Amino acid sequence: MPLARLAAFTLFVLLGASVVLAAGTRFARISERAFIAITAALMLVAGLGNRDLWPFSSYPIFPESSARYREAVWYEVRAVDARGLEHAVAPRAWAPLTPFVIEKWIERTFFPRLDDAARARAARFLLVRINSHARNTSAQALRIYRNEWTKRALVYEVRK
Amino acid sequence: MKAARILLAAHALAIIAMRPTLPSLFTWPRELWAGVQPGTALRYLWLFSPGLEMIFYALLAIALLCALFGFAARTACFIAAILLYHFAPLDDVFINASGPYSHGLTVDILGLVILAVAPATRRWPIVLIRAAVASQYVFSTIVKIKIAGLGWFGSENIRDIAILFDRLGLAPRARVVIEHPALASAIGFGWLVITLGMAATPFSRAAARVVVPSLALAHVGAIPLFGIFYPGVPLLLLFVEWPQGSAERRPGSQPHAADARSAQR
Repeated sequence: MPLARLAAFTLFVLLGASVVLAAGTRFARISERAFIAITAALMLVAGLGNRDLWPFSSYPIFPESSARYREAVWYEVRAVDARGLEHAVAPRAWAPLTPFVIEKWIERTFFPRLDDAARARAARFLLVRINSHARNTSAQALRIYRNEWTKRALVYEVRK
Repeated sequence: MKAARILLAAHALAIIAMRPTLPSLFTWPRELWAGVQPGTALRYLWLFSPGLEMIFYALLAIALLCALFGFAARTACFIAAILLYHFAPLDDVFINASGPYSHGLTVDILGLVILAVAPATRRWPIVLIRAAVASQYVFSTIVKIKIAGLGWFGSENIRDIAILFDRLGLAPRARVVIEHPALASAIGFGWLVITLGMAATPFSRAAARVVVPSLALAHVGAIPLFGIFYPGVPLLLLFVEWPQGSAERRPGSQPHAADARSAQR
């Protein structure tokens, strides 16, 4: 399946190359038309058929109704200093990822896919990143909170 | 075409400049990669050592700079497009998101390939690039209608989105939408009309003159009201009819006549 998806982009690039190769020959117009037609077709197949042919896409951005917004769950990572005080993590600690990606990764991979040992290794890696980007304080622990609409719970903690 | 090349290259360059260490993700521990679907590495050609990936990333920056300044422009556009395809999915892949990836590089990739191969005197390349820009909005709206129905654009749903983003601390002025249902209705209806109207903009300058500025205003409004900044917004400048550069006019060619003929095809 990944190869089939790569094939869409490969076809687009190869037909583009054929436009260059055919320039100035009697095949120039045919190759241009083929390139235009296939590009438009790939856009339509991905867009209307909601197929994952990226970089041809259906752009599924917030497609669901928000009527169930109260069921939203989101995670939050906090750093704990030597005095036991919690701090927000500077976004640069996760660079080149964004806080959004890290928090979604916690939801989709950290809890459902990793066993205890792997989870501890991953959390310690995140703690090292927090400390390598902290200005004045050194984080002794990392805490992960699970937020729901009306409640917040500590669901994971790892210490140095 | 020259303006399109400069816009696409500058846009992509700005995005990758904000993430100079992107290839360092290849050195992150395997636990971070545990959720990535099998075959992804093959699809995006992540087959090289981290050191080589750093060199590719530098090459991407150089290719985009060459495209920006018109040095070996076609080759530069082509190399940049292939390398953008290689690097663009590198963060969203950790959360198993399918494209478009949040970098806003999707249209850049398509546009740079088109610019690399298309004849400079024809009109279809710019129409095709504009179609790629417009498709973001048109398809996004069609997906919403398919999944959630026209109710997605109703007052209640727009208000619920504002409540959610307000609660997440992302939208500093969300209360305005939450407390004014008429405004929420207008936003929903306006977004539906504008995004579907984008379908006409690659082919009609009159439509582009009306719809594209409205869309730009909607994006500006979305920043305080919903906390949404879409990095692809600068690409709306591709709809401006920029004066043609002298480098694009070949001796003896008649660009305007050719454009008119091509536009009719």
